[in-house]
Amino acid sequence: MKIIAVTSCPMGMAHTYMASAALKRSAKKKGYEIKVETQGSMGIRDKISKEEIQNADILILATDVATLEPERFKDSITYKTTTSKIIRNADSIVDEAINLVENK
Amino acid sequence: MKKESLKEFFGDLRQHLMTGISYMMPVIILYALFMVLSQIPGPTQPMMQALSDAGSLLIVPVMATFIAFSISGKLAIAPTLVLAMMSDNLGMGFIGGLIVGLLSGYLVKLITIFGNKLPGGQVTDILISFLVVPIVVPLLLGAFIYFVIASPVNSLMVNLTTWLHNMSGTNSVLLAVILGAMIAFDMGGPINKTAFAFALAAYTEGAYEVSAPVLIAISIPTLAMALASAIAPKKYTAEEKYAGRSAIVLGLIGLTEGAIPFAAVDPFRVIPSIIVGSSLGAGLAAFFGISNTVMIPALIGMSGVNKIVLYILIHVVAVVVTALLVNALKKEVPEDER
Repeated sequence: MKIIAVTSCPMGMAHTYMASAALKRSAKKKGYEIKVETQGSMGIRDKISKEEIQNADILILATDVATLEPERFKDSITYKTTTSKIIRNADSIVDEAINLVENK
Repeated sequence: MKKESLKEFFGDLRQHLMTGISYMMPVIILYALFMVLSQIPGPTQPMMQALSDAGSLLIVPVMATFIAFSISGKLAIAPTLVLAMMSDNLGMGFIGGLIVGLLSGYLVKLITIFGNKLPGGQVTDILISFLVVPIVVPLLLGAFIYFVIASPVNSLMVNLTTWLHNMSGTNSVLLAVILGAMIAFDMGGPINKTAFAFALAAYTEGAYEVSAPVLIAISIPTLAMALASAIAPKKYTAEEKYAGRSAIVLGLIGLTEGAIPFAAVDPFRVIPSIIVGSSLGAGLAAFFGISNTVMIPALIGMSGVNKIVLYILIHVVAVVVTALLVNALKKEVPEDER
């Protein structure tokens, strides 16, 4: 299972990176491959490539503010959430996102 | 329109507003710092003044523009920037900016949806992006803003500003306590940002004594948890102590989020304690009439504070009280987790 994720928060300093770290931790624990792109105050970091988008099974979109370059993801199966929810309980967010793909 | 597609059309309203605030914050920081620098006499004074004046003109337009950008993308930028500049000139302030950003964003989105259904391909695209949006949107909304809503919103802003400035004694302390509690409640989440947006609105209207207590409330939870985990090492796990050390930095630059690792593990002891701390700090600040011309918390924010000794003292008192309170509530953790 390959996951891609984008995180962003209003100030782009704390929630963005905390959510990114929590997702990576949770995915590692569950044995999923994950790439997280952060859209913080310094702009896009660890940008997700076209190839990675094509190969991914699910996109977890945790953007509290407008997503940058959203047209990249128009064909991805998307699980929309917020950075706060991920920080609070990344494991159940990852599970729910995976459920979304498996039920398709 | 069906209910589902209506929901899709309006999108996540909170996300649109937060996008506006997200892009506005750096402009506010720029404006505030150059305003402080412009107080220093000398040959650079007029230049600093010019920079801060230019910055102050752009605060509301940038917010409105990025609200609209969040709703309908690049196309909305030009008309919203101009419309918000006009509404701000008409004295519609922060609330005017919110209204203009939303109206313009949704109108442009409506036009785009309509345009995508029209035949003509590239010709239609050119017509819409170079004629309809830059001309029809400012014309329609400009007339609506100028003739219909400018004067009611303007008088609302005047009343609000007068109310904020005249609020004194018990009322201002009460407001500060409530806002402080909201800041601590979800540490950077929606309720925190609602209180922060209120403080921003007060700030852009020059009610610095309303925004200052909120700024003080912001750094207290993080600093308090850093102190608490340092003075009672037996009550915190190794991970929490690590979080505590980075919380010192997060607290000094003013991020409430530094308290999240602690609250996530033990919400029922940590959250009430930091609510008490932030409300106490904010309440004391309002009581002593602290004002801050710089919309930044903690250390950097110190440059715009009127009573600097009290400002530091309030931080210390609130942080110490919170740390002692949370440690009194907390139990020791097993030795192998420390």
